[in-house]
Amino acid sequence: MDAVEISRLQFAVTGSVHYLFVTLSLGLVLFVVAFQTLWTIRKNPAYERMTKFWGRLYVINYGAGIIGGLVMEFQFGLNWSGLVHATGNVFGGLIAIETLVAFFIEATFLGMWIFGWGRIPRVLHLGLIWVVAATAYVSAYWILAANAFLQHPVGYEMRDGVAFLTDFSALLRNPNLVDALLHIVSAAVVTGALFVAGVSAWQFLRRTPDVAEFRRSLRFAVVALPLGVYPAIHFGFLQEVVIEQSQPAKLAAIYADPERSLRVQRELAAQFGPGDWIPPDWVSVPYQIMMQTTFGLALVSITLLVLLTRDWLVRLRVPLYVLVGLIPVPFVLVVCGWLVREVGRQPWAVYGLLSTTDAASPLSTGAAAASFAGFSVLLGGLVLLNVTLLWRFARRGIEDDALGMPLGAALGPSTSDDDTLLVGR
Amino acid sequence: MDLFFVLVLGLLFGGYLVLDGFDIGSGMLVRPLGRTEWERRAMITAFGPFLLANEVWLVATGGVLFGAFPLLEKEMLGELRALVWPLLVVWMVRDVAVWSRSRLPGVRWRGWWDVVLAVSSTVFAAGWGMLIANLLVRFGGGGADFPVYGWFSLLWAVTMVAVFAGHGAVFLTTRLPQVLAAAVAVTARRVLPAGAGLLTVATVVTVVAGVLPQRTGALVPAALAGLVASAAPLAARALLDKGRSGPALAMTAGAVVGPLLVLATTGADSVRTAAADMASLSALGGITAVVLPVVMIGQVYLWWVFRHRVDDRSVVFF
Repeated sequence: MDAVEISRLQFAVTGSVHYLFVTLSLGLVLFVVAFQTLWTIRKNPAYERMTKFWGRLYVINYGAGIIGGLVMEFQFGLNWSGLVHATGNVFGGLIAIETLVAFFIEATFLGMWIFGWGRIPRVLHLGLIWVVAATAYVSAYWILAANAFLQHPVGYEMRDGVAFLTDFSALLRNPNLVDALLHIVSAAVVTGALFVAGVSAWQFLRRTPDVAEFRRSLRFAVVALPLGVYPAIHFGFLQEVVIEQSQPAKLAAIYADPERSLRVQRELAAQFGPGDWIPPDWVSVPYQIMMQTTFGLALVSITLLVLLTRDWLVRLRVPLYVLVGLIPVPFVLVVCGWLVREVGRQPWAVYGLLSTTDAASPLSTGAAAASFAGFSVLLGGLVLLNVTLLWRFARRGIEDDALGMPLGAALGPSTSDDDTLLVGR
Repeated sequence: MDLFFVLVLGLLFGGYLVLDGFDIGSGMLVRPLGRTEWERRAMITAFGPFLLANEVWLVATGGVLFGAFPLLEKEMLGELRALVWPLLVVWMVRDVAVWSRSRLPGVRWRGWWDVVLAVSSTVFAAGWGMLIANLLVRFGGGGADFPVYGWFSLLWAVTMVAVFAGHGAVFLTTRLPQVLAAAVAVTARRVLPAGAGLLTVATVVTVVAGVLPQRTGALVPAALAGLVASAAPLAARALLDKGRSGPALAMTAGAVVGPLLVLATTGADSVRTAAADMASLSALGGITAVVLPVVMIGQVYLWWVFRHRVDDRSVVFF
């Protein structure tokens, strides 16, 4: 393996890990927003407990997402200096806007939401989570705008091997942006819905005492599921129309169609000179997994809707086992989708403009391997830690609420001096 | 436009150092100063509400560096790879420690993460010192006499550990319950003079050791900025003695920004020439001019909400 391949692998690992957490956060925050809004309007304490339970899982997962994401931004300068040199004027700007417009506000307000529980007026506190959710989706928009530029560069002109911005609005109307965004948002809804449904089902299997809360959560999730699955299919296929126009090689690879590949390879060789212009053909595998499984989920989501009548979902018990088993599925699917989009772009870093080899930093293999090893170990540990913590808190149920817990209630009043007695929850 | 972005970059990075600076400083002190779980949790709760809002300044710095100064990002991060990579790792470890330590109740679990927090915060502070030292060398035209991990880097590393520790201690005295704040103030009194002394030494060495051979015009402003900043911790100490911890915090913030000012006297021009194309800057500038004030209002509101001292009713999470 050379340094470029190691850098690609490192980006794939950090990207996938970050993306797993983020997809769950994007999906889960919708439920938190819904439950807190209902709590604020209807004043039903069941909704407060639901907000706290799902909110706690959301925040734990959010932390892992941030920590994984920190590396992403700085990796461009470290491992992909060719990309920065050639397209920093355009691509860099989009990343910069994401951090300023979205993440800056999101992080500021999330901290306030966590620590302001019961201290900030209720409606204002609700407003905070709305802002956090909205900026999270705005963030997704800008990141995908940056990614869409890599897939299909627009709104620039090249001078001496450097891209200069000519039309900012073209970046925002990139045909590779809108359908992909809606596809990913739908996938996030699926992830959140199957997580909420799966954890609720697990609680029923464990004979939870909090029947009212988990029954409501389960019903919400089951209704939300088709609202994610069907748009995900719809916007998934819509993208193929765009891909056929802008990235014919990607479409040839995901269809695993030798005739099409040959034709596209000839066209691209005529355009860019001799070389292998077709992405690795194994991307058809994640493509098939993603597509077939999502069709399966579409059927499952309708069946689950039917099972909502008379609480069959809970009373039959078998569907509960199915729901628990489905929790990891969307995570596999989003990584598949990500592989299709990113590996399908190869051998380009910026399609038709900059090859992956030219985009990489001139690193020695040793340096690349050292950084890859370091980050992989760290991110692997982070995934393990996050899964362990989510598992423990998902199992614990509703009575133990870490969100909005005052210091005195968590550890006893400040007067005592005994260390061992003071370690509370 | 490029000047505007130099200022934005300075504002964001300076804001980051001041704000996350007290997280870093407090993180160093949680384990050594907190005698009971209650005290440690109170210290973490003191900076907890601000942590996310603080470190996002660095993410924004990175974003603006990438968007407005892509060539600088490429050169600085690229050439200083051996330093930036470990810095990122340490940052992640610090965050994992804060996020995880209170998730499980075990005494050992929490104690272990407190050690990780103390060590990673200290190394993180040292890393910022080293980065400042290396940027000084690069902007000033100093050569191979100053390797990435050389004595000059170590001097700035030790300096920034002391400066951040003082800043964190003073921050804790503003946010902790009175009794605990008084105990932390004792430590602050000891650490602040060390920060002042080291900052003086580091400034003098920077000016006289030939780190800035190509920036002889910057020697006087650099010395002035450094020495004024060196006086700040002593002023903070005097204010602390009068029980005015808020103004003392403003002083230690000045001490944290000092090194950045020294850097600005030598590096602002180099930064400016690395700016992106005008069309990109204009697109980014319009958005920045609208968004930054909104963000600032959010951050000010955060400070308003959490302006009180931590007590039994304070909400915990980290």
